[in-house]
Amino acid sequence: MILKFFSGEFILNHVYDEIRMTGKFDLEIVVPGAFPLVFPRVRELSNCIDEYYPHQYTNGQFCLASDLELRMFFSQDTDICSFIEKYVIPYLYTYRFYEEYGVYPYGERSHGTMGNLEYLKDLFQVDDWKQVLDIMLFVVQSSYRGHLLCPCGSGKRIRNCHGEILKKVMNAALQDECRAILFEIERECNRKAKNGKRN
Amino acid sequence: MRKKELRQQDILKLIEGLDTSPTMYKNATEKYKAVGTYLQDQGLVCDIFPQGSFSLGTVVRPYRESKEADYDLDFICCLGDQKEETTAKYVKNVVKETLCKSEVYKDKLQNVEWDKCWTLEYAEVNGIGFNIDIVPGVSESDVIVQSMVNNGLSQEDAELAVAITDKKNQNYFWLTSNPRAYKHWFESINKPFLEYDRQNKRRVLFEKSRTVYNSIEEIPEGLERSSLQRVIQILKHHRDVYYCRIRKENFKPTSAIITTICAEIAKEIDSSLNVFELLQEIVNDFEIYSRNQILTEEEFSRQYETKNIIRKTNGKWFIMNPVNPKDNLADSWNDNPEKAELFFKWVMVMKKDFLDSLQIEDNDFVALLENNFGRDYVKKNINLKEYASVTPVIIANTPKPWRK
Repeated sequence: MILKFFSGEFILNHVYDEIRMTGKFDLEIVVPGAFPLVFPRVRELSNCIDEYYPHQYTNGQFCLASDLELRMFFSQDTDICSFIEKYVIPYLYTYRFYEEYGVYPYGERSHGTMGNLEYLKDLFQVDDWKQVLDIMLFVVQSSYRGHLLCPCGSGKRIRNCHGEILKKVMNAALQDECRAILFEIERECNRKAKNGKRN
Repeated sequence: MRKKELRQQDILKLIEGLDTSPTMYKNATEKYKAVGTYLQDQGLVCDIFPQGSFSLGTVVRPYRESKEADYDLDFICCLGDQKEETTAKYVKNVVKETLCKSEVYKDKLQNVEWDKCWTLEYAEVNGIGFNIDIVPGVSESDVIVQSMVNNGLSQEDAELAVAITDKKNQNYFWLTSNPRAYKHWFESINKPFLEYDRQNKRRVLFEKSRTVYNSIEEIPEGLERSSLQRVIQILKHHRDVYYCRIRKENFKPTSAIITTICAEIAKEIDSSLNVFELLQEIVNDFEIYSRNQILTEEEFSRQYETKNIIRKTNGKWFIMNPVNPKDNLADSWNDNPEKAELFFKWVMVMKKDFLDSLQIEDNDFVALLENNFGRDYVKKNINLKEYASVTPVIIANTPKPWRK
């Protein structure tokens, strides 16, 4: 079921870090009935996006940001206008920049689970992957208690460390996604260990 | 929509603003001559003369880390010593030691030893500073001069060759360089371009430099710019910005490559063409040369018999140094083929930005100017009210694109 459907010409005239990108796009935005559990789908209809651009699905749907990032965003804001401003426009800007210079102005995520993990690493503002996994384990297994030691290993209490961000992650109900990612990592480790033994 | 000719004038105005100003030209000339006089007064027999873009009139303000930086002007300091009777280490260091005897130069001397030069930093005038790079050297040995003559260079030009010093891993080596012969070669091609409509151009130049010179006659030739020199400046600046954006600064084509190819192409071109007509002609040739990438060497030479400035022989790129026929300016393209690929890709982007863009919508054109010259610089130098341009919105959230 579709909740809302928008389409029309969008004019890009935006600047980031002193570099301006312009362009016209025919956008279609479909907001599904199950929104915000299911995210809006965005496509360009007049072939302005090169079919080989890596950050889109085969049906032309934009890969705006990692699933976890969008889940976090919609847990705090369900306004479609702000979704367009914060995700659709920066995506089109990135696309035009990439077309012009072959690089991403503010980077890109790896595809799949790795991209989600990169998002969490940025979100938690930590340097190593072990910290990311420790915080994820905490999210999956525990509930928020500000006086406990922060799972990042800083030695500080949660409320003085990753408190705010942990609250947001838990409010966004990212536990299931984190659990799924952790299982996937475990499966991958087991598979590698088995292959290692065989060799 | 702003007319094509007016857009061209705007591009020219922006590129002219990146050139050495008459004030800076006068200042830098006085300063390098003073260095020469000082060194001689100290008993160091030497001849100091400009090399590179300052001597060719193709200076553009350097663009580093997304910012316009101070100008770097290169000068050879050719000592009177015989190459056989001295060492590269002595030549390089005696210049520094002599400079350090003066309080004035000691203060200006950067505390870094570059591989080929010493740098004197001069204070900013109107917010723009410049560095004088002093490249020590001696006249090249008879053996090398003779070998250059054997390779087809005139005796007169070969005798101008200089042995400059090159420091690598604490060791000093000699390198052959011939900036004066290169200047002669470049000037011979540039002359008809410079002569075209010369009096008129000198008059315009005088209007712009009334505070520095009292009469048209006083304006030095070194400040005049032909359409060829402007084309080279446009290419050099676009190169600096583009390679910075694509994050491949180490892959930039050298200024020697750009200047040499443009001048070689211009040899055959009508000297009355304006900057954009000449740019179009030069780019057309670049497009032909880019076909070296897809055609076999036989196919290319069959189809384009006369096109031999950028050559491919046995799979190797070759661009001849006009004053040292054995020297291949494209050597590094053969070590790193991506450089050649990027070079031809860059030329096409440059064509899109400065030739094809004359037809696009005003707002898109202003964006192009801003991206190539900087937003503040464009705002200061161009009357944006002449364009139907809409102020852009700033991107605040920067999500990274992803895929499942």
